[in-house]
Amino acid sequence: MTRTKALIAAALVALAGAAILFTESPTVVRLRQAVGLTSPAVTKAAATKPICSQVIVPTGDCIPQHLANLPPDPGEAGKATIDGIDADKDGVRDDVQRFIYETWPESERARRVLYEIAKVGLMQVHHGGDLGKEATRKLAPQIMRASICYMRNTQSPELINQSAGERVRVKVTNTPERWLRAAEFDQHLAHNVYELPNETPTEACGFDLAALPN
Amino acid sequence: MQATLRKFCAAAAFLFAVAGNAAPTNIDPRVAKFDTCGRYELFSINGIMTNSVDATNNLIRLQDVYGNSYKEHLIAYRLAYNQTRGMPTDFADSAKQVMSLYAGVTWDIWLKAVTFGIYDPSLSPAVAEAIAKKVDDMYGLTRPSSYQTEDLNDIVNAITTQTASGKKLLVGHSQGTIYLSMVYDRMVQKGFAPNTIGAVGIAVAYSSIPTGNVYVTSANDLIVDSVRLATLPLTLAGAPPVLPPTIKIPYRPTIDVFGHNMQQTYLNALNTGSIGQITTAITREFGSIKSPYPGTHFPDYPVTYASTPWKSGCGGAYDAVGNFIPGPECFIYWTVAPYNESQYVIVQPGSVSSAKTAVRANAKACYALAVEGIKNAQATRPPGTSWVWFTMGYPNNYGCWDMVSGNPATDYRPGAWWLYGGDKPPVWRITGPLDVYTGLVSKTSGVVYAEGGAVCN
Repeated sequence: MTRTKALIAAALVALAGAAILFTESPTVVRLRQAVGLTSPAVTKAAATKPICSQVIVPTGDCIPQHLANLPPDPGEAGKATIDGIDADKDGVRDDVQRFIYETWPESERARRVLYEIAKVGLMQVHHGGDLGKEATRKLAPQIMRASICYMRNTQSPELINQSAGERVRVKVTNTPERWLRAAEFDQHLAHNVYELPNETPTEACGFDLAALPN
Repeated sequence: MQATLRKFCAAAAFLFAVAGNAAPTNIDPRVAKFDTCGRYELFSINGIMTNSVDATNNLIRLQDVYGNSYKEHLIAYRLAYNQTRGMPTDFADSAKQVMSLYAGVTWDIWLKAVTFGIYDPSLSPAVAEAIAKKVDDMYGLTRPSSYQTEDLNDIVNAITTQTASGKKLLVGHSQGTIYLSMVYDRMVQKGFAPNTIGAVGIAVAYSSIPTGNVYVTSANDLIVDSVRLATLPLTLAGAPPVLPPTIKIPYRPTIDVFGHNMQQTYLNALNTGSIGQITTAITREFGSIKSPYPGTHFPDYPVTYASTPWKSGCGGAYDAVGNFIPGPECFIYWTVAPYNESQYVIVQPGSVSSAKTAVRANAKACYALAVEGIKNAQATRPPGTSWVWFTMGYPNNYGCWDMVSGNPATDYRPGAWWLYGGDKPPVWRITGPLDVYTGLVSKTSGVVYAEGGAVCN
């Protein structure tokens, strides 16, 4: 058995479980919604519905509150430039924002910490290799703070088991060009040493995780 | 070959035998010991194609499972970030090649296959195999490393010059373990004593780890397994084999399809066995690393230790401008205790420099306390108390003293001492953490000077 075969075997074993998380076929999307892994995406038709009065609403009669104010899906147009589209200017690209809100509808805490992960990823894509080594390395504490925020909250074990940070990263680097820019940024960071800041999650996040409702 | 085999079997047996307690050791940084003999430093070295966020997440997870301290010393957790030059371009080029050759393969499909090992159901087995082959060639765990001398010099310089002299532990994951070995070799070439550097491997796909093969590998790690299989012909021809597994971590494909990821597998809270082995390995290495300082070490502390006196209630009073005027039975208590691994004190009059000279002339690791106006030291234990009252002064205390902590009848503990059990904490004007306090009494005001040293090896 070659290594390649071993990898493929492993992939096939995982396929059934993993497909539910990552594929986009109508059947799987419906299944995901049924088991509560995602909420239905806001479509143009849905946009005409009223906003639900409750935080989480299982029916499709109204738009869940957490999805109500999301910017529209930018589609392929969102991939036209490196920085993409951030219509609501919240610092996170619209497609990434929608992905986070749709995938983690039940937890504001999860969404907020994943926003921090998304922001540093987008920062890396934005700068790429443009800053040079010295200036890039000065941004390392920013990355470390986002990591502390993500890794040290009550949602962390669940998010780690869902590969949540990695999934957001995949979304952030969703074109070869964006991926390469982030990698170029990391290349400038590489071959150096960075000390982990001694910060609490609240300090690292810049907001109080415990104060969030869920 | 047999010797090598014995060595890693012994290491593996050790890990099996002592793994167990995986509770992190966290202490209040304010009471951490002062690192007179060098700081404990842990450098996490990531595996191939790990982005900086994930590499940082791994480091944080390491700290979370191990804790912030070793033997009451704070550990400095540092990321030694590693990326193979040229790899990102290879990666993107490979993706583009696969996308152009096979209809239906998108960047998204490619990235999910490579990042998570999850292949889109729309892919035919042939295409999935083509992607896997591409990744296999690109990652090339079995090939010689393509690290460049310049990169290695950069990281070694960062480890050795940007950080304080310390007891350095390199923790590598996956392909980061080969980088670890190269960094270790380069450090030794630069003159670092091998016994001042420790090494721990996690998910090791190679035949050795410097310092004695202290490592943790899962029998369900498909990446390491695949390397083991790929190198089998070489092993059969006499090459050293990939280090054997030390543990069988339960395979959880919905969390980590390869069973190889640091956060999702080796340090996953669900896997207490591997966490136990990793923490045991780190403790073992920290325990064996020697201080970079030979024998007795007197750090060049940048400050003069001077404490704010604590005044006992014995009839003293404050004057109009706030100065405390002690009564006839009243002492002013000075607290002075820069941390020391040893437990000796010299008290003598004079200045810091004269104290230092005297202590060094005495050739022992001591604190030199130059206390103006203090004479006739003695150590007593008030009846019924669990603490020891020290008074000390000059000129009769020229020499080193053993100190006692807690109840001297039951708790003699060389290396740690304090005097004000439960009493009001002192206020220091020094920087850096302190872990012990001693009291010096005086009837006069003044400044207490201190110079700390330690027996490091």
